[in-house]
Amino acid sequence: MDNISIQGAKIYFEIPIFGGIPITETQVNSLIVIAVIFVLCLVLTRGLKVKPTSKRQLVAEWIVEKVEGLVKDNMGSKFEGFAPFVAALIGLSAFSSLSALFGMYPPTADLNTVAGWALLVFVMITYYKIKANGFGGYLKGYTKPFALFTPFNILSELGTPVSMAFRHFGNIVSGTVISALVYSALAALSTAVLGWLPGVLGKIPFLQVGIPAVLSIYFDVFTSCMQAFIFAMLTMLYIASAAQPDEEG
Amino acid sequence: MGDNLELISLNIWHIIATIANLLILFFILKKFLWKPVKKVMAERQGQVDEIYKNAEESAAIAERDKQLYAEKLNNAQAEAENIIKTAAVRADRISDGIIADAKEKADQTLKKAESDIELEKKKAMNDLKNEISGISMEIAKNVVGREINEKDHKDLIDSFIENIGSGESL
Repeated sequence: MDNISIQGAKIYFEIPIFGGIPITETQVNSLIVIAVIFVLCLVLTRGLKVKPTSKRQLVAEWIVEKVEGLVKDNMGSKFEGFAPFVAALIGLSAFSSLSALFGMYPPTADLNTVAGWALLVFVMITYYKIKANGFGGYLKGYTKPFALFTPFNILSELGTPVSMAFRHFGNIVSGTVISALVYSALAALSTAVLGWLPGVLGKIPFLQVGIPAVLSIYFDVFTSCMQAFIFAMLTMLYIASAAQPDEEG
Repeated sequence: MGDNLELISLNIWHIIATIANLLILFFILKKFLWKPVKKVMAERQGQVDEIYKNAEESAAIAERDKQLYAEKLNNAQAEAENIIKTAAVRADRISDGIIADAKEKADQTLKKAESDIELEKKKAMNDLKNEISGISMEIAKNVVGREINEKDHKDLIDSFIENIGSGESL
């Protein structure tokens, strides 16, 4: 069970400006995911008709309607314009995580990715809070219920994006970690149990077949979709509640 | 190449790139999925609205026609009744005329008959008078045996018969 190393994204090269910007698997895979979604959009919306005749159109309309329904239910109809943003979050998150199924490094396993999203959501939350209460009202919100709470309020405000980012990151990385552990454990088990087989047969880790696939269904497919949904859900709820003016003004 | 990032590492450029990626995908979805799908949905909604509107209009027209026909039917019925009534009145009038004519004719006939009868009666009376005067003259001739003045005699008898005639009705 040696040689297990859990590491971040592979660095391909560095752009030698600003002290070196490493271009990693995360960046490349993110762009691949975006390209895939882009192509998917083009394919789904090709030849749209008023009377739909293709399954593609039904899928496209289903996606649009479902996401809009989700946004309307959680944020109200005045946030309808958020639907493509929420769809982008879900799509990017789910497809990034699911890219692990193809042996790619999932961009969501890079803390930078989810941190970026969480940061954007945090900016939006702050924007809507200021918009709803005014800048003074926004600042005054930190002294509720009384001034002593200000540090805690600031902490909880900052905690929102941090918790969002680490929740997503942790879930995806844990899948990667456990997958790696299980693989090497099964390899060790295979050598221990079947090592007596002659020649090359003893070196083939037979036990690696099957069991990781079952785990992958949970860690890759289920967790990927779940975390995408949770992240989008939290985004909607935080922003919608931020846009509500505080009752006491 | 070959190096890896730490498992947990933050790089401001990566974060910016991620945000840019998310925004790019947002615009892609908005432009290439939302816009066309919403457009087609709006078109469909428009068509559905139009179909509904047409259906409602058709229903309204049908309702109006129905009322029109009901009204016409009522009018026709009233007209028929009117025609029948007019015809009945006319028939009544005509039959009244016929009856009146017939009555008149009958009256005329009756009158003529009466006058005829009167005439006949007079004639018969005259005949009778002549007969009687002739007979009585004959008798007198036979009794008296001589010719009396026929003229005097006749006058005598005539006055006699006249007296009788006016004394009682025949």
